[in-house]
Amino acid sequence: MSALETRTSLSIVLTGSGGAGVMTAGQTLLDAATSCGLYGLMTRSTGPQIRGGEAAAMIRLSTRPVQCPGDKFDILLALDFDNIQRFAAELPLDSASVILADPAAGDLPPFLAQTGAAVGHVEMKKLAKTVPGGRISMVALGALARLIGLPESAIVEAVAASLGRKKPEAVQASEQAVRLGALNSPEMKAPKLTISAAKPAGRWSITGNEATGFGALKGGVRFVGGYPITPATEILEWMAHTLPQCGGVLVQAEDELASINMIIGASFGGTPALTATAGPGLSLMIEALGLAVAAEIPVVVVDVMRSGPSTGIATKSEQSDLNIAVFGLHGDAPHVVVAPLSVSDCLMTAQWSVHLAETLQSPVIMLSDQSLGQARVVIDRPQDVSFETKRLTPQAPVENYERYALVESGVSPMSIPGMAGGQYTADGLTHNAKGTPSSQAHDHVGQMDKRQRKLASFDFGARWADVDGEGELAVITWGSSSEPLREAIDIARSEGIKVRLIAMRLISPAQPARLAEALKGVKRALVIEQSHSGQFWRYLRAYYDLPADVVSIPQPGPLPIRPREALEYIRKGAQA
Amino acid sequence: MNEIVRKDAVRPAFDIKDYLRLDLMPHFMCPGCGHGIALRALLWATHELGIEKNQLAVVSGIGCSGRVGAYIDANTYHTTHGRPLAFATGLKLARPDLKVIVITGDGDCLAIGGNHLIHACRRNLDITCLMLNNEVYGMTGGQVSPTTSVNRLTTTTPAGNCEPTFDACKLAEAAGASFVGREVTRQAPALKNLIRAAMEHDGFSFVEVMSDCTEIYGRKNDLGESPEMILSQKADMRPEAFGNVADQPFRPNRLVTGVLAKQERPEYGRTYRARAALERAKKGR
Ligand SMILES: Cc1ncc(C[n+]2csc(CCOP(=O)(O)OP(=O)(O)O)c2C)c(N)n1
Ligand code: SF4
Ligand SMILES: [Mg+2]
Repeated sequence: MSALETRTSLSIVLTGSGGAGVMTAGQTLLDAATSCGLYGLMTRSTGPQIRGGEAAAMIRLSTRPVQCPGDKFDILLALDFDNIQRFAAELPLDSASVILADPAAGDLPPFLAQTGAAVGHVEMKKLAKTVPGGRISMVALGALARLIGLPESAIVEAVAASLGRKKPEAVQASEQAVRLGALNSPEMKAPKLTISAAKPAGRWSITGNEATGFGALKGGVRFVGGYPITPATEILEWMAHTLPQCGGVLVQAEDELASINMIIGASFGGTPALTATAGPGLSLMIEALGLAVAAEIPVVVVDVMRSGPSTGIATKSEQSDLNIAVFGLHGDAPHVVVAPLSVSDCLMTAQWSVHLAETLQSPVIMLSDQSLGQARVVIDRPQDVSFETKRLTPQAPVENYERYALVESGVSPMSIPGMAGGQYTADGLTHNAKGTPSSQAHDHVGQMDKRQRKLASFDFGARWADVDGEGELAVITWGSSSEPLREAIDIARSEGIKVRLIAMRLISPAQPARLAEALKGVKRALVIEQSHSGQFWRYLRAYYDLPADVVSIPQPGPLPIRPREALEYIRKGAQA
Repeated sequence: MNEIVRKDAVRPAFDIKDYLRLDLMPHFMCPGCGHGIALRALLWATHELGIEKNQLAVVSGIGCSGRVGAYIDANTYHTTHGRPLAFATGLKLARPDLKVIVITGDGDCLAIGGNHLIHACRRNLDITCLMLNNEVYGMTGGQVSPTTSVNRLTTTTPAGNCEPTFDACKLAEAAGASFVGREVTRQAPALKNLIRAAMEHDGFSFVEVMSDCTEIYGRKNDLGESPEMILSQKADMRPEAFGNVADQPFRPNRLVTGVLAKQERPEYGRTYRARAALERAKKGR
């Protein structure tokens, strides 16, 4: 078989204008492929319209787990060409790509013609009209399925599963449309999927935002105060469904000032609490985060980053809230900042965030982003992790209680309202060990030292980063940039390039000894991130000893870092 | 006294195209969205008042309602979520000569911007605030808002909303707004007249426009397509549509449209400038 026919990964993009049902079709394709044993990833892109505008469903299918977009699309399935040029920059195609389109859609737009991709035609609209209740998208999926070697029955089953058994006519219409599309699929050379007959057990189809919600729930969160904001809203929506069933409470606050203060209140009351937001919301929460640091109240704030500043591009990703998350608070305010390294890692990192917040009595900011939160992946069921999460509380009987006692670990027992003798004032004013306001230098410094100490002396363990490989070249990255780099590094290694990957999950507090260990023998480091100003690189320079030869490669959003681009950086970096 | 610049010539008939940035078309709104009717009514009123586009400043917040403003060929500012009234306050105090309009949503104005609303009402600066009330957070995909009716489905109230509902007009009046009105998008000419009256009013004017989010709120709650939603506004205006409101003290009394409150209060900008002039005179400057 030629390389073209068996692929480990196939990238398909479905585009169409409002009402064409692109997203539903994309989901159907992903479900169908999953049932044939494939792993997959689906991301989405929409135009400026709220609903009914043009949309693109971007799908990558593979025999191995994939968690980031590929380098280019093998297939573009265009239901129409209306406004498709709005996606031009997001649709890398080349002469090996295939475009499947409706001849009725008109001429190929120039930007597509320039790619040299082969074009196959299916009369989607016309064929759909011949089936009562038939949808264009289903005809298109049928044609696509035949082209890439996906059984049509898998598509039909996926439709049936999503429509439920309640709508047999709709399922029947879809089946007819799919079969018609398959029959009329163009004869052309196209990459084929490698599929297995058996439906694998125990796979999950989950988005990063769902995983974040689930992880937080597993971590013990039972109170969520939130304010809707793209691309974090799904966390709140997931929680709105799930929390009440688990004895928890979700409240939609009147704004982010309220949501952050609500969760601080709930946590003061003893209930692990979380909010989820994006950059504009995090900006509003900063004042109260200072209070949580000063009063040592555990809370988790998930920031699903999007392109900023201000309203920016609400639906597109960027790792540009690192500065505000690490440095945004006024005063000296040590706190924890973590970042999941992949869509599926949102699960563990959210759970870990709750653990860290509760254990360290500290706010934890988790920096997810749109490319993780709103991406859906099909993965093997993740391993269960468990943390011994327990907030340190005073032993009964509580006498002469000092909430902010200057203990060696820095973590002083925190009383929960209701504990006899444990009443205290949680205060944003500088206070002494009892919590009484003080403007004395020794109280200020003593409490500062305490808060610093509890983070500095804590053993964050191996989770601080994923470190892998050897050699004199290292790639240092964080959060969502890690996945495309992993792929790039795999290829680089297969080319004989020795390269290490250091993907940081723990951003703050810095772990200089750990990084020094990970960098032993490294002569050159590439710092790759998705920001315009190289925020991560600057942050590393401020807190870490780096090799003399450091190359900063910041790539601003909103386009994703593609493995192939990263590979070029690595190849270049490997040259003397 | 209103500081409106009027054109001298006899005015041609209203053509909305004269007031829109046509290069931005097609617009972002979903088919049937009520916000478009509100936009038209505002421009129609502007036309009737003969306000020059360069003398008009439209400040909007973030939301589908907020996006509407930028289609107007005037001095438009698309600010941050909840803050257009604060922005407009600064603008109007710095440039009293401009006609300043705020376009905001129920979430923008009553949730995140609630504080700014009550203070704008209290101050009584000559600003017209149009709150496009579609009972939902349209832009972010249909979450509950302070005006969502009880029991309605939204993505954050999957079991039905159980929070009491705000009556924005009562709130504005209580906070001191010197002009308060409500109108439905179903009655476009009446809406235009109300907005016009609000713009002519000297002081802070608050207009609640009962709009419809067809695509998200309408679908989710099975309220029908746009025509049905618009027609149902009439049903909302019949007393029997209210059922038992005794246990819903904050439920907006949608029955009542038109000018709901109007009082003469000193316009803040003028008061401020008069006092400053007095001080200057005292000090002989
Ligand atoms: C600080 C901040 N928080 C949240 C958001 C997200 N956001 C954008 S629009 C919106 C709600 C809009 O609802 P509404 O004001 O009712 O306007 P509509 O879209 O319904 O017209 C929200 C929460 C934001 N942009 N900024
Ligand atoms: S989402 Fe709702 S409010 Fe926004 S444009 Fe669409 S119909 Fe209008
Ligand atoms: Mg609204």
